[in-house]
Amino acid sequence: MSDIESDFEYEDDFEGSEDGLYESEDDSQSLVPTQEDNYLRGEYNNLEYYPWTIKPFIRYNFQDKIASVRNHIPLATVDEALILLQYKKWQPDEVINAYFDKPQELLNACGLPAIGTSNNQFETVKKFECSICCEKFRTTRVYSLTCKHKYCLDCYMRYIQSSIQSGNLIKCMSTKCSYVVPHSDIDKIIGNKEENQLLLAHARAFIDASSKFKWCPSTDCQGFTEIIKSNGYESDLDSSDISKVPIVSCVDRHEFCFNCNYENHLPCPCWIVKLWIKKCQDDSETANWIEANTHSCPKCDSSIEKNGGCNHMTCKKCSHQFCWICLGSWKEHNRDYFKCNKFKESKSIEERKNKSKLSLQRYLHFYKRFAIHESSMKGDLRTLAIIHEITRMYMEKRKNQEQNLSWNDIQFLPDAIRGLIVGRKTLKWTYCFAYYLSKSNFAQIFESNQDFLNKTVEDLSELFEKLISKDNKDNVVDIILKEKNKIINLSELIMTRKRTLVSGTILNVQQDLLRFEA
Amino acid sequence: MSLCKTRLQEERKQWRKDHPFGFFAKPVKDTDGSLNLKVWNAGIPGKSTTIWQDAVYPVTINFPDEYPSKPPKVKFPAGFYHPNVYPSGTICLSILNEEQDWRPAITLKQIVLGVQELLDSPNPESPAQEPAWKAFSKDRSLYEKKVKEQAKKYASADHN
Repeated sequence: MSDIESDFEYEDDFEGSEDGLYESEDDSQSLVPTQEDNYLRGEYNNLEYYPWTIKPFIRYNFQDKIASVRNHIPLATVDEALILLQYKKWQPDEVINAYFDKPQELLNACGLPAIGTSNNQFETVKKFECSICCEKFRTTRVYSLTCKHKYCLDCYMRYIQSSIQSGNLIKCMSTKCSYVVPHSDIDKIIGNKEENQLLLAHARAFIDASSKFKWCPSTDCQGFTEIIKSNGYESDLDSSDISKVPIVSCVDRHEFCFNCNYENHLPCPCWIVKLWIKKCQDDSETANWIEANTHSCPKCDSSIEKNGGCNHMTCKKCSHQFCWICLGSWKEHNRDYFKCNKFKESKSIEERKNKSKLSLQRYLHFYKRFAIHESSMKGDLRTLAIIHEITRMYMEKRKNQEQNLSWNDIQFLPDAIRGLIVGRKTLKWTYCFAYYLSKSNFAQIFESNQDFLNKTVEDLSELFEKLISKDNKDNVVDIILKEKNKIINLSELIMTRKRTLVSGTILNVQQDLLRFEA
Repeated sequence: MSLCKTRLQEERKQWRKDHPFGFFAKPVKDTDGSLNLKVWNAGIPGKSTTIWQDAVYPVTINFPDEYPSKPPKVKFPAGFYHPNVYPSGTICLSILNEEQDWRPAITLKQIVLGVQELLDSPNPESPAQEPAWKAFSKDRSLYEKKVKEQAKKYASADHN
């Protein structure tokens, strides 16, 4: 498969091994960004960034530093090294200097007894009254630090659970006692299968607080991205220079804007996105939704719910074929140039008089298309999930029959699917862009590039939808393979047209050939 | 019975057995006459020989469901004049902050003594309201005048 996103290079085992978080001396070194080659560079914006997942992040930023502390303070346990490091904000040199300079001061501040003398205990005791919950136990499990303040494990568990979120070191429950609960004991007390919950919480708080990191905004995505080298976008957040929009990607290849913390909104500059989102929220959402999401068949008036991604509709009742966007007959679309994108101002004098009505209509025109592509994207995702499942099951069966069809033969599919989604997302944002665009010849060029992209996206979406139609139920995979070249070509065409549109737009805005009206 | 209530009953028992002189603390009564252990009214006497003396300052103490894992919220009446009291009356004190020095073992007695201590030893590093903080750091005589006026408002019965 060709370079759908040539600037992304991922190793398959990016997530890293499933080894415990405590074992830092495994082969995980290769997971961290040690060479410049590992950084990714934005497609248009010259940003250098690095997509992380939390475990390698913890290993690289926290756990890998344990060894250097223990080299200088050989008696320190892993837990003691972690506490010292967390206290000194993960600077091993500072830990070592402070330890050799004024060891007692450092240890007191960290809530540790002399190195090697920690005596933390889990015990089973008889006839115990816990002073936290005031329960009287015949026998119970208790925990104590070197200070020997004993409390029942349930109280410790509740205490840790309610304070772990902050990511800070957790101290003994006794008033004014400064002894710190070691990281590994925290996991034992709360009985979590995932290791080192405190480091996880600490890392999350660390990432939240730092302006160098942003979480991926995609639903359920756990990835986050670090800016390694900025292109200076922060200095002018209201810039119209689209080439600086800080689009980055997470480990799952979700592209998002590091400034807005919103999905990739190219070709729109950030300030337009903010205006647009605010506008969409201000105007009656329900009215907008009804306008954009529900249609009746233009011939027989049956209510129609769109369940796929393609805009070519066939009424189940009267078989009338029409375009979901303009509600015109589909025949005109095939024969003619795809005219559905342009907003033609009505010539009627009455409407000219009524400027506000026209402005609402204009807004609704663009909003409708914006929203349709958003919901079509969901339809595409459903279709694609079905295709994915069918191919998977087919391959399982094939494997058993030893037929010479391999995974490689259908690997073009994920790329094509991604191409469709990426193209649809760009397309969606072109309508926001067009809403704020002043009329000019160059705006017309923009619109025709938009048409081209629209056409290709719809073609591929329709092709996918046809594949899973009921008529093809039993031989979907054969048809997919038959259509392989067509699918590859269409998805490559989408990427080419998307690039042309975005890079052309960036250039024309830079040269002041495209202007905004806001 | 919830864990929070077991502990609160014990706090009440301990308070009745022994509490510092001049203080009072009792759970409020619900409309049906039963005790609500999660909300207490308490009185904190100003230390003698300070500008806070001869008055008992009222506070409400709200215990959350997660108590004692999480600290209670202690409030003076809204508008209380003190550098570390928010306009809402909420007290800014490290032992009442779960991200700072709160520990589940801290008792009611330690809390009210902590608040009493705070009255005459404000912490200028964590201002919570502008008028008292500004006066405390820039115009000490105005500050003392205001505090004494407030003390009259909350004057304890035996001096009236």
